Amino acid sequence: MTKQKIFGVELSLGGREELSTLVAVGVFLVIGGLFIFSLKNYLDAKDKTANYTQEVVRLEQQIKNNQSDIQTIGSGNLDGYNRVLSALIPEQEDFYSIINALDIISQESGFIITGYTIDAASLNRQKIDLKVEGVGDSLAFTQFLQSYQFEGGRLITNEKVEFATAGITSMKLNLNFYNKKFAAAAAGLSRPLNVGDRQRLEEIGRKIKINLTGTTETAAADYKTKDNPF
Amino acid sequence: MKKKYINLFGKGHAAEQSRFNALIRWILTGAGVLLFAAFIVVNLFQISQQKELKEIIGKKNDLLSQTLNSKDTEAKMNYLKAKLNQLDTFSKDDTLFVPYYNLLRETLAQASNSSYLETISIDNKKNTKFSVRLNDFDSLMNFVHYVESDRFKDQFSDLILTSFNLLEGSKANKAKDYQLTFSGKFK
Repeated sequence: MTKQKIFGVELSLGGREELSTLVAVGVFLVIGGLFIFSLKNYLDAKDKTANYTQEVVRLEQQIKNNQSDIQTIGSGNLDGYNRVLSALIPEQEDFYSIINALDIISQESGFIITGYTIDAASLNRQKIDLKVEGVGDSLAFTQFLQSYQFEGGRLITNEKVEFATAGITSMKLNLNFYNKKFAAAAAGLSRPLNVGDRQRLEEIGRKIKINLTGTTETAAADYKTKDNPF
Repeated sequence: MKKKYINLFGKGHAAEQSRFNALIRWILTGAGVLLFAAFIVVNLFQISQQKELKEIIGKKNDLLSQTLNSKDTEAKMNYLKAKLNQLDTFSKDDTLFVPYYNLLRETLAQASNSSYLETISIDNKKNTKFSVRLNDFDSLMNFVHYVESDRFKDQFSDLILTSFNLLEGSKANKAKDYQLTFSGKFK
């Protein structure tokens, strides 16, 4: 019987019992190692599955929302609607389209614009302030107020209107024009598109006389506001 | 002196050492069998998990290729939604004058035939100030009754009469005109 020291313990390894105990310890450790390895792999796979599942759910939702939006809007109309929207709020300011818009509204309403002043401080902003002076009777002015928002082919807002209803009047208005770049990461509508959105876009398209299915066309036939960004 | 421990690895205790080894072997065998069974179970779970993972990766790839196929339409849709969002945001700056103006005109027409809206101002917070002119006392009384009715007050969240003036009339009989100025906020 040979005696050896293992971990400071003197064992007679020549004995069958000690040897088989050591083998049992070895086998146990190997099984333990395999178990831990398998468990780790299983947990890793479970984590990965959970992450991929989340991603799949997100993609499915994205595709579903997109399909629902396309169904609501109609994929054939997308270019036309985008033309309308990029004319209303161009990517960068275009002063000719501002002047053109005022001209169109003035012609259509009968309210004669006699002058306008652009606030120089607003030139580099997304919102351009424009002071407009004009003359016309109350009917023309009402007509102007009814049509200014879209009919010139640009989105125009007016933060305050003061109106005397009688007689021919000279009016001063502060109008706002907008421009804003499209950034892919920018937040769009968080809700799905609905039929109301489509009707609104159709109505604006009719007002600004943009052909929703064909090429860009505005009331002033010789002036193009903006091309389709795509 | 009585021994308080057994030196299992020491010399001269072969029987005790043998019992200890047997005990260790039994424990290890039992624990080893259990561990091996657990190992098999974990492996079965792992195989099933790997299968599930493979399926989900395949599904993700399918969805990605679907997304890539509709990339162009999706880009246009993103543009449309971003611009609609801009339109909604910027449109809030507007007074929406005409609908409120028409509403007020129609409401006043119901109050009295001789009343007319003389001046009106509305801002984008729906604050308003307007003056109404009436040609005779009966119209004034009718109008005042109407102004006090819920039908008129329902159009506003807040409304006060800020001034009441007697003005030189436009009629040939030199009757006086009545001017009422209100200030408030539309609902």
